[in-house]
Formats: sequence, structure tokens, C-alpha cells
Amino acid sequence: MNQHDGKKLKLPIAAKALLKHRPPMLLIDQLLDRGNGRATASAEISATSIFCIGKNSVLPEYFIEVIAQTMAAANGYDGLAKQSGPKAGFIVGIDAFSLDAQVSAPAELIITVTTTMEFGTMKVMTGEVLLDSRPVASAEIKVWEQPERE
Amino acid sequence: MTHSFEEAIAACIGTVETTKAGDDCLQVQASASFPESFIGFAGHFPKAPVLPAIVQLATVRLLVERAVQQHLKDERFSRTKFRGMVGPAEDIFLQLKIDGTTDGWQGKFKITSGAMTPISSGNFAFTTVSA
Repeated sequence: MNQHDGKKLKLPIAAKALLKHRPPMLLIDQLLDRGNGRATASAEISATSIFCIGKNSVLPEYFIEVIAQTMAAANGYDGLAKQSGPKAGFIVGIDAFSLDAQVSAPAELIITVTTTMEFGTMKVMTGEVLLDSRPVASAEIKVWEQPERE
Repeated sequence: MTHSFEEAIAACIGTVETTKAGDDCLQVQASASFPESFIGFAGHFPKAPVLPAIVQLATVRLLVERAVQQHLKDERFSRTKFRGMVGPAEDIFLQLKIDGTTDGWQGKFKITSGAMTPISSGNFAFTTVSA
């Protein structure tokens, strides 16, 4: 069962269709899966990305953003399924963010998020970033979603 | 010339004052202002620029690196709360308390606006990169 009440849309969907973010701040590429309170997205980071430092090391904060954008893409998917557009979402809290490995670009990442609590416009979710099926970063993030204007 | 995201953030940091507050304990006070042309505002969001939360966290990390004069890895943030939004050219003020640990540094940060309105706060921990 999907999180939303609307129709099921064909996946994958380009992140641009689901998020208000635009390059260079659009960091995820596609929403791959959505259902049962979970969402999976992909992100590819090139060695020339502005989010790289030194010898192509990916900035630690990049991983927080891809987790948050995966959640936002899931919300965008739900909105699209209910025939409303993407909404702006803002990180309002981060707990237990942990980056346990240095990742070098180029890299293809898979991000999974699971909603653990939802209250009105607030959502709490846990997210994990995988590189070659190996977890490299995780976080619990609280997101506030901007309500639609009447 | 293309700047990295980190270089762009570093260029927006203004005054930085670091004081020693005991053995392996440092306090940092700094200011920062991100102009409308700052790369983090581009696409976040079109026609409604808001400073990404990750920029605030990256600024904290950069200030810790400057204060302890070491490169850091294995970043951890906890109990981090974002209470206010920051727009282009707004002055923000950062206060950090940094304590040494056996393998790195940990501490707390607080970011406020010019009117001392809380913007964000939280705890951090970093491991020092071995030489």
C-alpha cells in the first residue's frame, strides 16, 4: 500500500518533476520506489561537482541534503498522485546524522528513507545513503512542508 | 572560475574570534553573510531563495576546522534544530563551544540573526584526520 491516497504513478520519475529544487541544489536524480511509508531515490555525483573537495571527496553535508530531498521527492510523488504540485519542504531538525566513510566522486548513490512519524505538516524520517549496497551515511531528519496557499 | 561549494561558503564567513577556554576547550564567535549571488541560493528555491540548512552545518564544520587547525572527518550532528530561515545578505552570528576528545572534537553551536533571533542550534562531533 502506498503512503498517498491517490493513483499509483509509474516509477522511476525524474526528481525535477517532484521537487522545487533546481541545479545546482537539485542533488537527487530519480525517485525509484515509493510505498509502505518508504521511498528510494538515486543520486549520481561527478568528480566535477561543486560538492567535492580535495581529491574528489564528497562534502559531508551533501549526504544530509540527499536524504532530505528523497523525503521531499516522496512527498512530491504523493502530491502528484493526488494531482497537486510539488511543495517546498524545509529541514527543521537533524538527529543522529552520522557519516562513517569518506566517499569519493564519481559515485552512484542509493538513498532510502522511511517515515517514522507524521503530524500535520511535520514529518520525521530516518534515511540511509548506500554506496555499492554499503551504508555510508544515516540520519533522522524532521521536515516541515510548506502548506499549499489557498 | 568555478568555486566549490565549500570555497563559496568560506568566502562568506566574516570576522572570526577564537578564544581558549581551558585545556582542549575553545570558544568561537563568528559572523557570516551570504550574498544573493551565493551558489547555495541558486535553485533553493527559484524566486524564493532560502539558505539551505546544510550550509549552516558546513559553516560550523569550517569554523571548527579553522579553530583546531586540523582536517576533520566522520561528521556527526545531533539535537540540531532549525528555527528560522536565512535569506540573501542577512547577517548571521555563530557561537561554538569546542571540546577535545580522544580522537577528535565535539561541541555545541548556536546561530542567531542580527536581532539575536535563534536560527539554529545543535551538537557536533568530528574525528581528526590522521596525518
